[in-house]
Parts: sequence; structure tokens; C-alpha cells
Amino acid sequence: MIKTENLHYEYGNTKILDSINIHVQKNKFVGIVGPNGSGKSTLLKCIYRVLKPSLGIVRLENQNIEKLKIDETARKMSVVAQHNYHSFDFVVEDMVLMGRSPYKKALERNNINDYEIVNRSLDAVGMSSFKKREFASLSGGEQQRIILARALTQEPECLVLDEPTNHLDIMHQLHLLNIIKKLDISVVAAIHDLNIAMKYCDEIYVIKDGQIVDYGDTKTVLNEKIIRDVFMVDSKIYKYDDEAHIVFKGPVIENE
Amino acid sequence: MNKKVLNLKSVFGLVIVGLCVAVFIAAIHAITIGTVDIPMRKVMDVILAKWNPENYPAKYSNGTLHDVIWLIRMPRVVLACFVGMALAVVGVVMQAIVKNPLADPYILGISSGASLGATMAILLGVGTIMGGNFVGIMAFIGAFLISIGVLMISNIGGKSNSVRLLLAGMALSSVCSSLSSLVIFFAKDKEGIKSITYWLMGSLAGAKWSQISFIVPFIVVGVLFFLSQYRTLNLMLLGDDVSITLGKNLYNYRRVYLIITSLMMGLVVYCSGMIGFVGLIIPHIGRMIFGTDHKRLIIISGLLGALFMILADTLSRTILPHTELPIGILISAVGAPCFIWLLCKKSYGFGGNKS
Repeated sequence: MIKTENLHYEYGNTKILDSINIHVQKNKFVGIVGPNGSGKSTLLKCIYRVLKPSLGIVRLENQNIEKLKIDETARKMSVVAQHNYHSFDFVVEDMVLMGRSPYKKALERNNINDYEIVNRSLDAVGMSSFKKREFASLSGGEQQRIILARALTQEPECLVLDEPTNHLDIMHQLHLLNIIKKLDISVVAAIHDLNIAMKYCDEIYVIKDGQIVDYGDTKTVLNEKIIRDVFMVDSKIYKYDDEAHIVFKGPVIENE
Repeated sequence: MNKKVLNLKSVFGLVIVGLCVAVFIAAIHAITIGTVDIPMRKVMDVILAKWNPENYPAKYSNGTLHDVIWLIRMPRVVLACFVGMALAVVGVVMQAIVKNPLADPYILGISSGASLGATMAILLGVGTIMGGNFVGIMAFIGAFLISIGVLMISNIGGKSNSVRLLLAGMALSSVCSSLSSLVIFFAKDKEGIKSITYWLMGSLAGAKWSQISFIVPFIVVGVLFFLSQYRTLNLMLLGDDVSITLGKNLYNYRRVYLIITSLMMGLVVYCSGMIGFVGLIIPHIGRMIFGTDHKRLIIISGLLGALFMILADTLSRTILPHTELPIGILISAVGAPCFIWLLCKKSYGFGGNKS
């Protein structure tokens, strides 16, 4: 679905991304983890076209996204980014309806079909009863679910998540990601919390200083050694049933 | 659910029709009022006689009554209507372009450019060859050039966005106002300074049909254009990044919108000077009634602006006997308390978060 080939991004003289190759297969949940400043967000921004890579290409279903119009990519890929505030308020329904705009020509009006898609998306995130509420009056977790509903009305084939659960409490984090997991579409997500990554990702890319350190099946990649090397934290991984949990012991004290 | 949508739609339709009727009645009423009060019936007759002179007595087609109504009062009311509409719609668009609920139509260099142009015209006599309303023409040129300048400066060394636009607007505004002050300082012309002050208060008194037939088409086309742009205007409020993920790059839209709004505002300044507050407060009142969705907001604001301006102009002509209060003073005096009331009202958060 999504593939990056030899992606570089430079800001001034600093290399933020250095030959990144990732591959998100159909209907897989792919996580990108790494410490602060490792380039996770930059990588995702290159994928969703807010930043233009200095070198290399991003492919969406084997097509170079540079060759696609911006509304064409918006029909295939939608984004839930970090939670932020807007300076104007919208009614929830209008907010979600905006997800239809990549499908609309200049003067085309919304039709029954659009409203049905909006209703379905709101249903999927369990927010149907909030349709007429003001967006700003919702809590952070509810707002992120509305943003997810807006992303779903774009009827995407893949979803890009740029740390969408930041600032959410644990219940809302799990709730949001459970909804996304159930959608069964391709997902690429930058995730801060390693235990959340462990729980939801099928595959993981670990990046540090703009380079891929390791990638592969989540449970193999996220091990004590890599957590120590990349995140500079000592940890122990406990397994029970089918799940694994990382217990952090403390930062690695570097001996001179 | 469907029933509710229909209900909202029909309410919206009713409000639009209601506002249109209100604008029409306010306009006719405004024509009846003046140093001589003319009954509404006669006003209608004079207007209808224009289309169908055979059915009406000759005194309706020429003579004092005709002149007072058709040449003095009518142009003024029509001008008020379209100036109000333009100010309100440009206010809505400007708030979307800079993503800031405090923006008004003059914010990106229009006001300072217009004052510089007018100051140069009045004190230095620049542009006298352009005929009777050379002050207005110079103000138009100043406003248009400075707002295009703001747009260009915001693009130097990076792509323009709402913050860069605001900063460029502030920078150019201070340059312009210091230049205006410089001109005033060296001119030492008391009369001139007085007329600049008057000019800056804004007035609709100079309305003429020739002006109106020139500016109204531009304003109508501008308003219709923005009516068609509601999706992009909505996206503008979400910001550049989110818009890209929803399939629109705002960069070019913003430039086109700014060129159109500069032209509209330049024309408004040309024929009425600077009338503040309408373009700030009417968009907020519009949002209070039907929310932020620009599909409804543009038309509601346009009609409210027209209505408000006609009423304000009528009041400015009648509030003091035998004197006309500059409309700018009146609008600020009435508008500011309204605005403060809005500010205190908890159910409206000025788009931001409610307290």
C-alpha cells in the first residue's frame, strides 16, 4: 500500500531522514517507534505530503505520490494527527462532513450519500449522539474520535496516525486504537508508548537519528536490547497469554 | 434525523428570506427619512415610475421630489447596502484567511494603505489630475498596493501562511502610518489635517449613481465568488496541514482570495472612506446564529452587513438635528457595546474554546 524508497529529508544542513525504506502491506498495522527527534513525524509528514522529501519517493499503491493530485491522495489516505485546538468552532457533523471534500468538485453540493457516510463513520467511532454538538465542547478523547470519523468519511484505503493518542488518558487511547484495529485497513502509525505499540502493531520499524535501526515482527523487534540501545532505557519484557508487556527499570547510566 | 436536517434547512431559508425583506424595508424606510419626510407610498411611486413612466404623473419622473429621492437619497441607500455587504463578507473571508477571529477587512494593510493614499492626496495634492474624487482614487491605489505588498512580503523567504501574513501586514502598516505622520508633520496644514480626520471617519454622503454602477458589479461578483468557496473557507480554519490531508493546498487559494478582497476593499474605501467594526462584528453575529459553516455564514453575514449599514446610515443622518454624524463614529459607538456584550456572553466562544 505505502512504500517509501530511499527517503531523505534535510532541514538546512541537518539530516532528519536518511535513506528510509518502509513498506506497509495491505491491511497491516505498522508502527514506527523511536525516541524524540528521531524523525518519526517527519517521515509521516513526507508520506501525507505536508513535507516534500529532499530525495527519494513515496509510493501509494505503487504510484509515486508526486504524480498524484493532492485530492487524489486524500481519497486514498487519511490522517489522524496529534490532538490540537482550532481557533474556530464547528458543529461535529460539519466537521466530519469535511472528510467528503476531496470527493467534491468546486460547486458540488453534499448529497444523501455523503450524509450516510458521515452517519456510518460517527457510528463506527461510537459518537452518533454527538452529531449536533459543538466540537470545542467535547473532551480531548471525544475530539480525537471525531477526527477519526472525519478520516473515515474520506473512505481511505490506508490511515496515517501521527501520535494520535498523545494527551489522551489510557482508556481513550485503548478505545481509539481498538476502533482503528477493527477497521481492517492499512495503518501506519507513529507511536510513543512502547506498550501500546506492542499491543497493536503487526510490524514495527525502529528509527533513531533518521535511520532505520531495525524492523520486522513486533514481538521480535521490540526486545530488551533494542530498547536499551535506542531508547537508552533498561527494561524487562514479561509475557503472559499472547501478550507481552515491557516493564521499564530506569535510564541507562552511561559509564565513562 | 432527516427531519431535523430538513428543519434546519427550512429555518435557514426563512431567515434568508426574512433578512432580504428586512433589507428592502429598511432601504425604503431610509429613503422616506430626511430633512423633508416623504411618505413611503410616494417613494415607491417614484421608483416604479422609473420603469414605467407612462402610468405615473410627470412630477414623479422629474422635479424636486424625483431629484431628492432618485439623485440624493437612493444612491446613498444603495451604496450603504453594498458597502455593508462587502465589509461583512470580506470580514468573514479575512478571518478565515488569517485564521484569527480578531481579523477585520482592513487588517492586512488596507487601512494604513488607504490612509497614506488619502493623506498624500489631501496634503500634497498627489493625483489631482484624476478628477473630483481623487482622494478616493488615491486611497484605492494605496489600499490595493499595500495589500498586494503584504501578500508579496509574506512570500519572501518561505511560503506565506496566516501568521506570516499577519506579521507582514503589521510591518507594512507601521511603515505606512509613519509615512502618513511624516507627511502630516511637514505639511503643517490645519485644514488639510482636519479633512483627513473627517475622511478617515468614513461617510456615505458622496454617493452617486456613476460610482455605484462602477463598484456594485465588482462587489456582487466578489460576494458570489466567495459564496461558491465555502468548502475551502471551512478548510482554512483547520489550517494548512489538515487541509492538505483533506485534499486542498491552501497556498494558491489564499493568494487569489487576497487579491479579490483587496480589490473589493479598495473600492469600498474609494467610495466611503473607512468604516470600521462592521467587518469585525457582523461575521461574529452571523456565527452566533448559524455556526461557523461558511455555506451559511457568507450569505447571512452579507445580508446582515447590508441591513446593519442601512440602519446605521439612517441613524447617522437623523440622530442629531440638522447635522450628520460621521457613520464611523456611530458604528463604533453602537458596535463596541454590542461586541462587549458578545464577549461576555458565555454561549458564544468567538470560535475558540468556551470558558
